[in-house]
Amino acid sequence: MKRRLPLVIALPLVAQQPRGAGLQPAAPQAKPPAPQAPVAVRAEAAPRAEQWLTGTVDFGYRWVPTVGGDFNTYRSVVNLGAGPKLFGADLTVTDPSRRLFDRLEVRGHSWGGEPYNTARIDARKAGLYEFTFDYRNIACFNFLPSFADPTRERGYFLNQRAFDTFRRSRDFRLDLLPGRRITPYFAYHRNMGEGSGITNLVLDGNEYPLGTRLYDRADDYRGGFRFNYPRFHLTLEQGGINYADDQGAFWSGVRQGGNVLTPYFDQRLFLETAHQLYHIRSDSLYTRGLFTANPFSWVDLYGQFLYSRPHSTAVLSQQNTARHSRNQSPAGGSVGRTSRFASWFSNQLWAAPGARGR
Amino acid sequence: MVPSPRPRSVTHTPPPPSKRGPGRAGPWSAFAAVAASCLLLGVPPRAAPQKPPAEFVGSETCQGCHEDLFGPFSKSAHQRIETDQRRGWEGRACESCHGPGGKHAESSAAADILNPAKMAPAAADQGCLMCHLNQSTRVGRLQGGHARSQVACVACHSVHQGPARLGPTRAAALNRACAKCHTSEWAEFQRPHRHKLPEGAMSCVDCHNPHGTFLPGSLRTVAANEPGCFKCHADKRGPFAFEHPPARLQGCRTCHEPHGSANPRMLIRHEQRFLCLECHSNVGLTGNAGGPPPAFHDLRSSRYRNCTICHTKIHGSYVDRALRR
Repeated sequence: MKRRLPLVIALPLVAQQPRGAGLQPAAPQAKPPAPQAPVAVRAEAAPRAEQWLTGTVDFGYRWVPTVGGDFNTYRSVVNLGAGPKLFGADLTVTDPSRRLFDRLEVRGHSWGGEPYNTARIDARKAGLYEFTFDYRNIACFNFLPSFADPTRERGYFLNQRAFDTFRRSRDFRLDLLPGRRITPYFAYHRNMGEGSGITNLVLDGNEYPLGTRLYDRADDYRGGFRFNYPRFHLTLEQGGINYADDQGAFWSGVRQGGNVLTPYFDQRLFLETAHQLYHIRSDSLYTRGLFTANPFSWVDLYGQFLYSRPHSTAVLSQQNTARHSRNQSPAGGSVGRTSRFASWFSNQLWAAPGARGR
Repeated sequence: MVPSPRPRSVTHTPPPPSKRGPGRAGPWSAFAAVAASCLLLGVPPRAAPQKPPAEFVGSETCQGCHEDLFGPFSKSAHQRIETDQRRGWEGRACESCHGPGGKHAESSAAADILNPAKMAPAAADQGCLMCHLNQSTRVGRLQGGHARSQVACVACHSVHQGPARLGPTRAAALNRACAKCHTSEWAEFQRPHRHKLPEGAMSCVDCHNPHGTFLPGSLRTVAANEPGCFKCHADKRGPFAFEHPPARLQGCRTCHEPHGSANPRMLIRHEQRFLCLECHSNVGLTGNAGGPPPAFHDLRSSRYRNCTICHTKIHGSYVDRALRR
């Protein structure tokens, strides 16, 4: 992105009209203009040529000084990083020949390692089509405790649940405009979330933190017709959703005793391995009809018909291995365990966009 | 330099037939009223005095004085009215909203022309709804809070401006426009845990349809009429084998403050247990939270103060009735 930044910035400069191109030259400046006053008036009255590209580009550099306090708390609440940024771009392209489009709008926001990126493209050609593409990428980071955990200083638990994920959304929409009354349209929306985090495994009255991987995806396809008439409107739509959710929680390698430090019959339960996998697949077909009418100026009627047939398949597999052992303090003590887990957590979580450049 | 105005056209162009609006049913309702009064009172109807027909002067006449408005308007989406023969306002785009301008052209008085920005909202909207009534984005307008609160179309849309300003399209500009009136909602977005509107990553219309929807709060619907929250949070949508009833029946706002909250995860209570206990308290003695000792959910223990430690699938589960997996 950093390599493309100068190109994006230079686009409006390239698109400028040549100096004087918008005005018709009235007369050579060397000659006294007094006798040619009508010519000068004509030159001023001549309309300016339309620029084919207009817009604004906001870019800059953000400095983030050393964050005082907990960096994870900073990321949970603020989550802005340092570096060169394209804060916003709003470009409008007008095609003079009107062959492919009449007007094309391209907008972008917060690019360059920002935790929130957006982009949008709107294209339109009168009497033919309207096209919209929308893209969002929103980072979700949370490493804040849900309550004041009195066992935090004694055990593993930095937090009960935490996550470092992002959610991406892509939205396509195409409206065809063959006529004024009937509008066919197609739309596709994809929403996807992915990342990692911490979740809890509760066994035998004890709690064990596990690393978790999150992934979900939803594809929504739909198409239909809109009938626009002076007295009524009708939309008929057929759509389908395809959904997938894979979540895995895992722990292996290091024996952990959870946050119950009190032995039971002089023994504690130490978790050695844990694997929990969710595999969810779902699809749904839906048919929708929407009707509005205004038979008289004093009454509005509308109704909606919806038929949906969702189907889901969920598979959960879980395998845990734990061992009862006599009460013995693991090497390193509580503080050592906390530090070890913190470093493990940092390795598991993805590097933040802001932290990447550090 | 201001170009000299063109000679005003005084041709009496008949107004195009109105397809919608208050005038469409007017003659019929007036006829019915008069006929009913005649039947009831036995009085023959008396011919009403004929008003002189209104004069349309054309957009070029308007341009003569309102060049500052005509320039941006010629680039706006409404410019098509000027050339669209099927709508019947060819060459009279200005008067399609402002009414006949003949008298105003003669007197230049503001009182002689309709100005939707200064009209009552319901009356001003009638002009817009002549064309925009039965469009897909207007289907719920009568249920929308804006319509009920007498917020006119022109309060948000700048009809004269170019395409970029007919309605704001950038997220930041949209949010600013909404925040002009919805100040309390915008203040909620200043809380630490919020949807990313102040950052410009989202806008109000991502979740709300300002023209109204079937859901309260003009909340958008997605897919099979589900709340717009599930457009992004698809993993919370289900349908689950074991639902958490509030998530399905009462909506996300039962537990979350979607605009922003001072509490993590945008919860409405600072401590999660208090949120859960509002429903799950004192229902039983042993199996439910808040029961007196020796209840299983002994709230004296810290582990029972955060319910989602065990009930991780709080929005719904495919495999566990107690929402633990």
